Amino acid sequence: MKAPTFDDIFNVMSAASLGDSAARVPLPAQPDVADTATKFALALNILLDDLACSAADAKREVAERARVADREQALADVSREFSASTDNLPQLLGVVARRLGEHVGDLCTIRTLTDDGEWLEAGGVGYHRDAELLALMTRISLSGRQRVGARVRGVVESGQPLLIAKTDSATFARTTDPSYAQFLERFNVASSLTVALSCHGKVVGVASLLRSEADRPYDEDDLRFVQSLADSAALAIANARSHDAERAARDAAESNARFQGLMESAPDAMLVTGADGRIILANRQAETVFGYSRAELHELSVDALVPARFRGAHPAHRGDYLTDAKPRGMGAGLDLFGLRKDGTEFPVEISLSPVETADGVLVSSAIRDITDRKLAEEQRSRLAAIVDASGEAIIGKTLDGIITSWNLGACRIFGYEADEMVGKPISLLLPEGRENEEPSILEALAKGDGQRFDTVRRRKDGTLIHVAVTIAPVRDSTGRVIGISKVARDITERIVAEGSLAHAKDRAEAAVRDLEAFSYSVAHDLRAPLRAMNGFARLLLDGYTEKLDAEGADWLHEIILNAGKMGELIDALLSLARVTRSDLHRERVDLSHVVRDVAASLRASEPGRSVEIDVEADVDVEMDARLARVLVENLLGNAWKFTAKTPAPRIAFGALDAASGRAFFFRDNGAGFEMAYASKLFAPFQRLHTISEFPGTGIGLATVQRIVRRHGGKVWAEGAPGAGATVYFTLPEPEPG
Amino acid sequence: MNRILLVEDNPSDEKLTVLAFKKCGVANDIVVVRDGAAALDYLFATGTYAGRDASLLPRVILLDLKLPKIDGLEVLRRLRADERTRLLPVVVLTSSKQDEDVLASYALGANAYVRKPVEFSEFAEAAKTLGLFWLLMNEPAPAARTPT
Repeated sequence: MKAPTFDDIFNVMSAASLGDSAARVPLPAQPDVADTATKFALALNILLDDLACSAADAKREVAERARVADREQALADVSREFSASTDNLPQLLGVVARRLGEHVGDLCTIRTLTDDGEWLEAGGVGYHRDAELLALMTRISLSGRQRVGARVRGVVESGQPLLIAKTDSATFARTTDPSYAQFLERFNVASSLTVALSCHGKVVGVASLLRSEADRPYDEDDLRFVQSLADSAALAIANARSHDAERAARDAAESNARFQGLMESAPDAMLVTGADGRIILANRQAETVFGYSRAELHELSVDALVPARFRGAHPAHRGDYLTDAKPRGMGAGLDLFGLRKDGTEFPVEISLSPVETADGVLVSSAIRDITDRKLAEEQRSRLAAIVDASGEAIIGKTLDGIITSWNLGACRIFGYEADEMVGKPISLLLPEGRENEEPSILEALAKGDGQRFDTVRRRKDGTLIHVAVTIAPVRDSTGRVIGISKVARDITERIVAEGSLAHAKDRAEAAVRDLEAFSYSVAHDLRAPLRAMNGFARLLLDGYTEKLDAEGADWLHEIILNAGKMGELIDALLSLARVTRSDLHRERVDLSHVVRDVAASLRASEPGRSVEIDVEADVDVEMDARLARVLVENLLGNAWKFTAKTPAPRIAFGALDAASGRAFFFRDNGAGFEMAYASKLFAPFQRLHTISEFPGTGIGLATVQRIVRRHGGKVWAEGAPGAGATVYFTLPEPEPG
Repeated sequence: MNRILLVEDNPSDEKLTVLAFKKCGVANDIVVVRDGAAALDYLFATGTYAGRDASLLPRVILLDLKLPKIDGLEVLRRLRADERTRLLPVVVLTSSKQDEDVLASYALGANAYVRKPVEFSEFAEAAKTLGLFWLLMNEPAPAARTPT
């Protein structure tokens, strides 16, 4: 067996000194057995006691030094930890609690106080080397908020620590919250130390220490140590609190800025109003939309932004909204109007939502100016009305040829109702033999090419109609082709009319050809028999004079005379026909010159007559030169003829400005005519004088009228019996081109 | 011999024309054919006139326009196209004085255009003038000169 070491002895001594019952009576006391032995034993005991005392003192001093060193170390550690981390209060308080628990013991809790000092805040920290016991403490006490009990209240109110060197659980329980009862069943309280955590004279928390060893009560030394750490903790709490306050202020400012930013970024005018309708917040759009500055808006009730005719009822509507405030649109189904500062109204759409604040429920309104949308809607409905009113079929279809819209015109033209056709392929309208038209149309349109063409389509009743179709691509705002518009017009009538027009033209041309053939035949064949009648009558008259009596000769003269007249009639008719059918070649014609020329011919034909003919110089006209001559021959010829019995015949030609423009005239002082018959003058074969009075065919003025009309002019006559006649005509300038 | 070739399908006109020439004393040698084809046969000594001496040409041809078989304008065209008759005097003597007829005749090389008047005395006067002019006054082109 090895010799006992110092430690062994120390342990025994310690055990004895600590009052272990076994150690306290280590040796059997048997004085009656042997004095010597007893004396020795007693001496030994005394010696041992002395030794033990010396050893214990030494040990205590060593332990005391170690304890002081430990505590100084703990203070240094706490300072270091505090300087390393300043913003995690629970962690800092946890460090303090652990150090106190370790270095002072046994249980340490640190709680912060509410501002009013009435409550211990939730989330206190604690330390006990027995984790299970600490967990129990945390559960029943530290995690929740608690009323300040009687013991702590004294500390909080005075700011002075409370050291109870000797107590017991029952006494302790009376000074604290009943919830501790469960803990006190497990933990025997022998001594308690409660220290206020003060900062700037205000108690912000409490550190409580409990010890269960009755023989080791807390002392002043413990109190000093605890107080110094508590001061550190108090400082940490104060720091954290001011930090929190700053952050709270910063958060509030940020949140405000965020809200303002949100309002400003909203596309609509935004107003936040109080329950009384006063405008509390307004964004820039609200300024723009209503024409008020923000400062002005803040002075207004929202009612001022409602047109006067709705304003009376508005406060009541606001009140109704607040009784059941939830986000919703305003005035569902009604047309709403806003009122600008300048008094103008505009259509709006408004959505409302309540905003809960500390000051009560506010109402946030988003107000959208829908003037443009209303205009667009109106325009769209106007366009839709036009589309529907159109007589043309206006059809929308997809790029696959599926019908998307079908107007009334389409119903009328094709006989299908819209609900029969929308969603169906347009190819339903294609008649047999034209099935391949649609694919080529769609192909061209997909490339963006519009088309116009005439084609044939089939109605619902199966009849075929001619349609003029315009097809155009429908593009979206980016220019992409997204559909097809088709406008179809029923041109069946036009096609039929074109057909009959062509037919009429053919017939007219045939008639002209017939007239030409007729004229040719008249010119060549009709005159030959007349020539034979005239010729043989003349030969008879000349060769058989002696065999004819006066009456027979007279009758032969009648034959000759009438054959001659018929010859003249034929010539006149041919002339009229030529005027009608010949082409017009308009050119500048000096009519004065033509008149003088024809006058010369007339004078030559009847040299015995003396007629004064006054011709205005330089009367230029734009007409067919050949017809101009025919015109003058007839008019001047008439004047010449009808002045044959006038003593001092005068004829005048000239131009004057009439109501209908420049007019030309031939005036004579000859036989004249009754104005009552003026309308008959220009009809073919109408004569106002007998042949015996004035010879003629009755074709001359009809020819004149045709010539003037072919040049687009008018012809009329004035006159009186015995007072001469004036024939006027106009020759409008031809339309350019 | 002063030959006049009269191309005329209307017997009355033919009779009147011959009478008109008679009245002025130039009716002695008028040859009459009734259509355009006969006129060409006569002039070129073909068909029914195959035995005729083609070198013997009339001093003047009085040519109606509206003729059976080959019309007057076509006869004129063929005469002007043939070297033998290119310079032969041709007077169009017809009922029409339609512009197109007159123009076409001159365009094809007619030497004169005379419209037959309805009035016989005028017709006789015209015949007399034509006879005097073409048979007595006019000097024919050498190639067309007829042997006398």
